[in-house]
This record gives sequence, structure tokens and C-alpha cells, in this order.
Amino acid sequence: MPLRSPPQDHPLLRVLHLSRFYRRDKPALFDVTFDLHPGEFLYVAGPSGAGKSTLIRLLQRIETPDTGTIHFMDLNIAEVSDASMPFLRRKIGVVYQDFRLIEDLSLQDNVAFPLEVLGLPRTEIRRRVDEILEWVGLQGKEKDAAQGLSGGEKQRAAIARAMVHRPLLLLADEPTGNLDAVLADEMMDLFERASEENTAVILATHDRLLMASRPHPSLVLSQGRVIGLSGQAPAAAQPRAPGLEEMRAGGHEA
Amino acid sequence: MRKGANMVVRAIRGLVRDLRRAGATLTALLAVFLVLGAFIVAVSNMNRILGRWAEDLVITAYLREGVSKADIKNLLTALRQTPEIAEVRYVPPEAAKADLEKGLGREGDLARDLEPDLFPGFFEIRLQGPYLETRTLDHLAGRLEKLGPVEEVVTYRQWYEKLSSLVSLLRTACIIFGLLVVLMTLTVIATTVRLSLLKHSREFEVMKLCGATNRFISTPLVIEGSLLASAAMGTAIGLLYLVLLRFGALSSDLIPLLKVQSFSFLSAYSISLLVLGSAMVGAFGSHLAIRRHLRV
Repeated sequence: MPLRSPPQDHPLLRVLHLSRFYRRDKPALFDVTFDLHPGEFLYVAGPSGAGKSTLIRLLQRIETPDTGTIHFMDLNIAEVSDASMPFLRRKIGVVYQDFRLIEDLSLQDNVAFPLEVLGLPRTEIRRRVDEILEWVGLQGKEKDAAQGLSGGEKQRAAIARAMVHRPLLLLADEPTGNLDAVLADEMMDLFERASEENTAVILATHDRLLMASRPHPSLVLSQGRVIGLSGQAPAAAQPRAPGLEEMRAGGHEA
Repeated sequence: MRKGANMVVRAIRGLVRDLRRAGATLTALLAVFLVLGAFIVAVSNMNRILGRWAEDLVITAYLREGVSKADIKNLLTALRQTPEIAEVRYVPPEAAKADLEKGLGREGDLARDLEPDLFPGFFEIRLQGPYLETRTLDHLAGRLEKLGPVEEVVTYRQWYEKLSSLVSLLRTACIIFGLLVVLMTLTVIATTVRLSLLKHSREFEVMKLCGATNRFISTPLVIEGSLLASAAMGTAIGLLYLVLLRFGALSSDLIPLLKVQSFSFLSAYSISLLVLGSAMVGAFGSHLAIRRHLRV
């Protein structure tokens, strides 16, 4: 599998006419198309139920699209075998609103997960964990249990875990949803720094104030449809996925 | 190599994290393995004792009154040439009386005044090792009874047969119990791993999103099952050894009567086989639980 970083001028992620239906009459996501280049920062905005989390799940291939394609590093992820999918996921970092830390493990052990998966030697894991904890401002708390951390610290830890293996793409699903404005601002600093370090970032949020204070290109969704696309290079013109209209008309049971 | 060591480290860390559940599993398996181990040790000792007794098994052929010395000599020569017979000893009436006096101990006076003629002379016949079984015993006794000078033949066959069938019964019980233990071990380990899967489902989900393969997630769980079962078996064997040492010390009077030097324990080969077998059963139990319940 060619897991090399694509060049800057080539999209890291290409989403074309992506649709997902849970109910035939109400798409969770409908005909979404966008490109994302290395180091780019993209908001996926919209109210609850707009399809933001569905998009994030599709990008991780937790779910598969009903129509349309997702090309990550030039690979159509729907065609990647189940056995190869973990290797592709190692190029992606994910941050959730509820942190998803393992509460009874230390901060260090939580953050080390992706590196253990990569099979790195203990010394290298230790070095990189220390480095990333310093990057998110949690140095000195390595041995603390995750359950003892504050909300802001937990989200920093989650970002550290998502970034420790230097992913090409960082997905964040409402990462500031559980944090106050000050902490949310601090988290945004980290996401922007990740973007500056050439990691493409997709941040799903419903927080318009946050988006206003930290302007970046955005894909605005409502009821699964794109209702606004700002500051983002459109994907190369592609014909619509075959069968999309039929599905929309109710020819497919999701 | 490093990957394998890393998996073992993760398995041990998993056990340490769930110390209470690991302890409960270990205790349950320990109880089962102790009973199985005790069974195996008992059967192996009974087998050994029976073997020793069989070595001492003799056929006694009592002679009629007034058999001539020449007949006795001819008979003795003929018996010594029989391939099934290892040793033949002729015990004349005087020696039989002396044996009885000796055997009666303090009560020996009771036999002293009796006439030696009252005691029939007899042959004490020991069989060769390979012929120590009831069919040869019957065949030889039949041939001896047909001889004119022989009045009666005693083989102790019934007694030997009863003990043999008891050992055989215990051996069968041991095999059936062994199979039950395998099933119990599979169930206990599978339940433990299933609980672990439930408790750590979120952790596995996170690991999967970090790019963990199914093998990365499941291998430490298989090793956990294997470690638990082999640790329980190792502990059971250790405890049994201590119990046997204590039992041996307490029954020092009994041991010579059983015609053995001491009670024997499991051989190094058997111990290795039991520990390895339990490790494999533990790993298989984990594998079954993972196949049924791990959703990654």
C-alpha cells in the first residue's frame, strides 16, 4: 500500500458526491464533495443532525457510503480491504468531544497507544510521548491517571494521542463541545499548530463564534446537504456518482 | 521477537490491571486443577503399588502327604525349566512350621508343639515379569493341579483382580474427569476473557481507531488466558507436591506395608505436559471468546 505523503499540490483527501442514507426519505449526508490538501484546515459546520459526525465516521470508514467515493492518499477507502484498513488508519488521528481516554490508564499510556500499535521500541515511544505532551502543555503529568485530569487536560491528552504518531489527517468531532470558551480557544491553538505542521485538519463544530474567531475554510451542512462552502478549493469536476438520484428517490434501503 | 515480547508485556499488564478478576479465575482453575492433579497422583501411585505387589505375587502349590524326595526333585527341575517361572522354592514341612512360628511372633509357641507332619510341604513359585497377569496365572495353576503330587494350588488371583479393576476404574474416572476439567477450563477462561472484552470494549474501539489490527488486540487476550491457566496448573502442582510430602511424612508406617519406598509424584515430563496442556486449553478458551465476542 503506497502510504507516502502526497505532494502539497495534490489533494490528500478527495471526497466526491458522498451520500449516506439511514432512511430512504432523509439522507444523513447527500452529495458532499470537497478536496483537502496537506496542512489545510477545514471546518465542517452545521447544527446537530446536519451530518457532521456521519461525515467523520465515513472518513474513518467506521461506516461505508451508499454512493460516492473517498480518496485518501489516492486510495479509494471503500476498496481498501478490512485487513489493510488499520494501516491506513495509522495515517489519521481522531479527537472526540468526549475525549475517549482510558480512564484507569496513565496519561502516558493513553498517549502511547498509537505508537504501540506501530510497534515502536519503548525508548522511542517514551521520547515521542514526552515530546507530544510538551507540545500540548501536559509535561509533568505523564504518570497521572486519565480520570484525574480536568476537562481541558483530557482534551489536550486526546489531541496528543491523535497527533503523537504524526498523522497526515486529523479529524476532530466537536472537540470543544465540552469545554468553556477559554479552553476551547486553547484547543484551537493546538489544532492550528497541527495544521501549520502540515497535518490536514477537519474540525466538525456547531460553534459559529469559534469559527468567527478563528477563520478557516468551512463546509456548512444542513440536513445532510452542503449549503455553503467558503474559502475551499472545489474538488475537480466529476460526474455524479451513478445511482445517486435513484437512491434519493427511495430505491435503496440503508 | 520484539513484537512477541511486547504482546506478552501487554498481556501481563492486562492481568495486573484486572487483578481481581485474574485472581478469581486463578482460584477457580486452581481448585479444579488440584482435584485433577490429586486424581492423577493417586492413580499413578496405586498403579505403582499394584506393580510392586504383582512382582511379589506367588503361586503356592501344596503337596500331598508322603510325596517322595525323588518326585519333589523331579518336579522342582521341571518347574525351573518352565519359561513363565522366574523362581521356585521348595518349602519342606519343617520349614513351613518354622515359617508359621516366625509369622505368629509372640504367639509362636502355639505352633511349636505341633508335629511337622501336619504341615504340608509346598512350592513357592514366582512368575517372570512379562507373565504377571491373570491368564498365565490361571493356565499355570491348572497345569500344576493336574500333577499327581500336587494337592492344592493357591494363586491369590481374585485379590489381584479386584485391585486391578479398582485401578482401572480410577484410571477411567481420571480420563473422564480430565475431559471435564478441559471443558471447565475452557468455560472459565472464555468467561474471563468475555468479561475483559466487555470491560475494555471502549479501549479496543480506541485502539482500532489508532490503527490496531485484530491480531494486535486479540493476541494479548489469548496470552492472558494461556498465562492464567498455566499459572493455575503450576500452582496446583506445587501445592500437591507439598501435600504429598506432608502425607508421606504422616504415613511413614503405611509406606513399607505398601511395599514401596515412598509415594511418587508426577514426573518432570508429566508436569511439563500438564502445564503446556493447560496453557493450550487456556489459549483456546480465550480464542473462542474472542471469536464470539470481540467486535473490532
